[in-house]
Amino acid sequence: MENRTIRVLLASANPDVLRMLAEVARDEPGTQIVAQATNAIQAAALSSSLRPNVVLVDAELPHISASNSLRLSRIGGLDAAIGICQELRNTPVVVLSNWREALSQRTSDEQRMELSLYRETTAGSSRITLTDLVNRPVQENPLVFAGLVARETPRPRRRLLEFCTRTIPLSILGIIGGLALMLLVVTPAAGLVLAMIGGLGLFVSLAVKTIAARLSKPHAGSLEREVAGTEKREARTDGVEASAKRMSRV
Amino acid sequence: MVSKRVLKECPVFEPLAETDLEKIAAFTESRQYEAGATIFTQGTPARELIVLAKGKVALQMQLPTSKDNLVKRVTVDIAAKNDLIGWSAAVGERLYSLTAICLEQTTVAAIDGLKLKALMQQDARTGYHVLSRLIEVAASRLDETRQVLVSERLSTVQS
Repeated sequence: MENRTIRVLLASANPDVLRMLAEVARDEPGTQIVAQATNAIQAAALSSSLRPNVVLVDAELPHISASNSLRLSRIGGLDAAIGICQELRNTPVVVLSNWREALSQRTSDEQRMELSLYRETTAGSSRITLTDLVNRPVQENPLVFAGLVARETPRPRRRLLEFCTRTIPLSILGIIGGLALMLLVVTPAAGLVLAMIGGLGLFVSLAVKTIAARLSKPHAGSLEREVAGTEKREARTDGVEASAKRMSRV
Repeated sequence: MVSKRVLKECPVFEPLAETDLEKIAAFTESRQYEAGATIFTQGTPARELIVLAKGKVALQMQLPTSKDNLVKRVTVDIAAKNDLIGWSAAVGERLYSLTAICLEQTTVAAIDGLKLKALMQQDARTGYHVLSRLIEVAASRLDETRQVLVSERLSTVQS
């Protein structure tokens, strides 16, 4: 699977979850999102026709259509994942169940959060990459249960990334302006200098962005701390959810 | 033995007095399951009621399919924290009617069904509270299942 594009199919009825999954997929080099499904039937049909290399399925995927008032209308994710596993045999299918906390963190502070998939076991939490899933041994179970964690991008690195993002369009403008000056033969020397500065700026910005993005991938230890923090926050919110649930269900 | 708090947070045991909760906690044990693990399987003897202390569990029903005589499993509910599953264990000599599969790493409080039944027979008040809450849970699940069934039929007809 080395050096080949990883074709990814996403499935969720929640547009925010689709967006987060798309970001996880796009953050990994060499991946391509081939389709997005919003229900189990669509996910099965798309996986059958497009034969993706990895499928990410929200556990709360509806069978046909989701209704906000009917919790039971959003329970088709596992069935869809098992169906896809049976159809595509060795294709890894990720069932994503724990994404609420990541979503709330993203919503409150979008710019500062990075998303990644994690697998929680009794031995601890480990980050999952799509590349690792595709390159895993064939005898391993293709059905993978995972959660989504949002972690803060370190502040200095974030500032550097923001600076680089602003520099890229300016550099492009410099290149265009420099070339225009050279072509119009107004001041070719100044044009050449301007285009060279623009080119250098663009190269440095892109290089810094790529390196910073690679460095900001979470390490196992920091991910475990992040997951533990997420669980504590969930425990606090679960109390409120539980009393609301009691009112509605019992 | 588990903490009384885990039982108290479950709506089925919420109305019970502290002393009753202590008695139930004495024959309840805490267990952890990894994501993808099966807690109980449909058709096996229902010996334990399970209260979810952490995690999410998919409850699946086995359905025979016409194709190759295969058995297909369909999710009928997803239980979350403080939900009670496997309540067949509290109602007569029964088998589990569903299979429970963990979607996340899950911590449960497993209550010995035989001992709970004995306690409910001994203490009618406890038995009344637990069984009336169980009926409410079962009724609300049945009602929601009906609504989903109807809404999916409607959307199939409309499309």
